[in-house]
Amino acid sequence: MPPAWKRHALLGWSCLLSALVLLPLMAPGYVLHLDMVFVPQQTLLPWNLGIGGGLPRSVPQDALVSLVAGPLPGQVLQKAVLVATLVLAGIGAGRLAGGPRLQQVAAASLYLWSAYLAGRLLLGHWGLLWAYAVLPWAVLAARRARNTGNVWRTTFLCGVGALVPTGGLVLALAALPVALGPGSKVSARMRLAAVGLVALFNAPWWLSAIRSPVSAVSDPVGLTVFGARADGPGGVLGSVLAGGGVWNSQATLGSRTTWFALAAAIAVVVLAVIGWRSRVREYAPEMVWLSVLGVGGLFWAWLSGVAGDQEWARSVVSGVPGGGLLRDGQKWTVFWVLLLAVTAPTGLARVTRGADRSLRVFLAVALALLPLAALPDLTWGGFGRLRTAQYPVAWQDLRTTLAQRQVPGDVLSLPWSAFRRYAWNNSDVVLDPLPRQLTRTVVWNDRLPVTVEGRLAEVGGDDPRAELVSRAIESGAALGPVLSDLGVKWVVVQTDQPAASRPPDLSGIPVVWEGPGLELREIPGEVRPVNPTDPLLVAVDLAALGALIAVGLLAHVTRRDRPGVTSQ
Amino acid sequence: MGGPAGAIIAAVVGAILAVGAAFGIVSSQTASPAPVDKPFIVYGDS
Repeated sequence: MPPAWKRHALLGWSCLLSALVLLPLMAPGYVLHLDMVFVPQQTLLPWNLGIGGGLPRSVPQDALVSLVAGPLPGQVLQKAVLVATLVLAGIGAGRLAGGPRLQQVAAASLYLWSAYLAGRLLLGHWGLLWAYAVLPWAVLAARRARNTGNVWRTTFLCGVGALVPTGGLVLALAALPVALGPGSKVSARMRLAAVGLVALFNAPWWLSAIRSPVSAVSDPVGLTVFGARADGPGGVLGSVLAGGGVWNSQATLGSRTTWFALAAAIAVVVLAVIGWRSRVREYAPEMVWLSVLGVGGLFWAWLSGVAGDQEWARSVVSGVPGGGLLRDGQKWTVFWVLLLAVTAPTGLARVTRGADRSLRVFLAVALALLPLAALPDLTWGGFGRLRTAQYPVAWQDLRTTLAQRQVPGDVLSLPWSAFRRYAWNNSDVVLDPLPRQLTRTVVWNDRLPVTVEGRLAEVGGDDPRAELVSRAIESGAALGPVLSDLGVKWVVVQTDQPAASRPPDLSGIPVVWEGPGLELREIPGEVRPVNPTDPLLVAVDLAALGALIAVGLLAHVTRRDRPGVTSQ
Repeated sequence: MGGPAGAIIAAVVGAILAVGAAFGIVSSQTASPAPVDKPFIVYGDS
């Protein structure tokens, strides 16, 4: 048996890298940065399940958070999710790479300390990163299922990682064809069961999208805005080759602009090409499929960056239901990043096989350190760009005040914009936390204003009520009657935010509560009740949750029954 | 490959990593916030 340090090297290295990134985020408080929003206590509301409101972009992520953040403080949940994501990503990549310990450690570095993870972490896409972390484990489980015929673990992981639509698709695309494809020992009945169960685990978002009265097609402007962007001297291709190229400048590390980062990416790609054939010889089905997905995803990411304004590309996004999932092209390099992580260490081993042992070890360590040298500013929460902050007491007071009111009705969030910038949150730009903070459904402006090459562009939202409010504000009409008709009884004005150039007409809506930075107004009289319900969707969601737990138990029990793994 | 050649390779690789990391650290302070052609979210009023 190898010594303890060797046995735990992969775990230790993954924990160390995770700590280097996340340590400042472990301070008391919440990380509120772009799309990353956690609140102390989140109440389960219809929109968390994709009922009412816009398209189910964060389903079932927000429903699960609502079930946990309350009994468990939201900040504890956030820290646990972030740590688990990074550690699992590193260990998973290392285990999928296999081979000598140093190869595993290098794979962990390449996957955990990647431009992809950095960009998505800074964007606040923790649900997608969770799928990123589960991905190598799902591929490993699929490899095992292929050889043993036991597909429960693969199915379970496909469900566990499906917190957001893209995450569910990534895992299903990567794992199921490997586990169930030609040559698999999985029986025909089990194949059907696995496909059916994975479809059920993903039903919370796709069924919600199908049953939503909102059009399932997305604003094609999104492709222009969200397409991959060059973040360094290598242009769009050089950026996505490294797993970078995320669309938002606020989610890009400065080190991505260096020639060294580009050279490091090219070196890793060359090593991956050298190592690819050995990997394919050893694990043909999974490597071939991962390569198909990797190159396909890379191609789409590049295309989204260079052809995002082409009519044919826009028609894919706006003409096909679900095409919106392709808008943010860079996220589909996820397979490519994993492919590089597992093949590059093998490539280095091939290149250095003639060298003496000490040089081989040194170069393997160098490969493990290369991602850190290329992206040094991912350290310490992206060199301090991710920090914690505490919600002011007034936010809890507002939640309590609205929860105690007996009068039914939803809430409107003003100023009429999606993103906020609070002095108490280090002035970071963050998605309005109000919809998650309150115990009532909040109508907010889901249009996304962005500046592209100096020009203001707006990606359209999809909540019909928000659209009607936008029109009312643009027309200068008094909001009171419009809101009453939309089922909105309350208006929360965040007074510490920049005032709108076209202030909404709030005449006849008196202030009933005030706190620092917050103002609550109540619309007099009765409002038209809006209680979106969908019993079928709720039943399917519950079935999916129950099935996921059952499959998890089955995976655990049948794993213990395997020869060689049984309890003794 | 070993002996002096190995030592030279190790020294060169080590130096490249150190210099590359130094460039990255400097860029993180000077490339603010990132390449200018990228979109960014406009907070506040649209």
